Amino acid sequence: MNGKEEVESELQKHVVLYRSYEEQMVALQQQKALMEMSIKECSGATDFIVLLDKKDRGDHDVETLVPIGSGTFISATIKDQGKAMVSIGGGYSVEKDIKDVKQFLEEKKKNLSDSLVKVDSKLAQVGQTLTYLQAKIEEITKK
Amino acid sequence: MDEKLPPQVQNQLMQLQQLQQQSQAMQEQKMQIEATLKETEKALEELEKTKDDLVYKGVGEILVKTDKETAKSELGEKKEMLDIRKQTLERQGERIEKRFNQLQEQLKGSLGDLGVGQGG
Repeated sequence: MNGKEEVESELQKHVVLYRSYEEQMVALQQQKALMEMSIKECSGATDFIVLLDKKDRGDHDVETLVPIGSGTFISATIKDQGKAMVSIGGGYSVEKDIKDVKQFLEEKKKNLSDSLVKVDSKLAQVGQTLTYLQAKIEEITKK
Repeated sequence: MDEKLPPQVQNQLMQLQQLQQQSQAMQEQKMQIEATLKETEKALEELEKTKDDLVYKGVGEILVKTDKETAKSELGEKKEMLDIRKQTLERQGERIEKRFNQLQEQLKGSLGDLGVGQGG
């Protein structure tokens, strides 16, 4: 191999690496978006549970509107305000007391937030590597 | 650039790239299995905690009543299957890594014979 070929080989190596890190970046960003959506969903559910817990239970049924899609709602009554069905993973759901549901959701949110921190840190690392590789590619191109 | 390399070296390079792709695909599969395994273990933990004998299983969009013991046995079987799958992938991963290292050494030797990467 002559000098020119070695430069081309080095350039190709760095471009391949850059693309691989770029793909990683996209995957991590998608993962982050999904996690943020789950955290938001978890917060929404917790807010509702807190609201339900504040009501005087047993005195009266809670009137609510249930979304059925496309901005459409039907009126419904919550008969049992002390319990809720929670998905525990693996395709199963269990009935839990409202207070336990609140704790379960808070724990879930905490786990998601911890994972989000890790994804953010990984994103920063990948970002730094991409910046380094970009500079390296520019340097090789100038040769 | 590759066109100027001897066919044997080109072949080694191609094999190395294929192994790298295989290794990456396996890593992704392993990560997915580990995530499902973690979720299954957490579900089993939650089933242990619940006092009710009745739990609900998601079938499409609806939840169907089932008993706790059936759920525990089903999730236990799922966990066992995932553990085996994970072990198999780990063994395959080790084999690929070994082959990758061997091939890398061979390639270094071949490139060395061609005088590439010596003295810049």
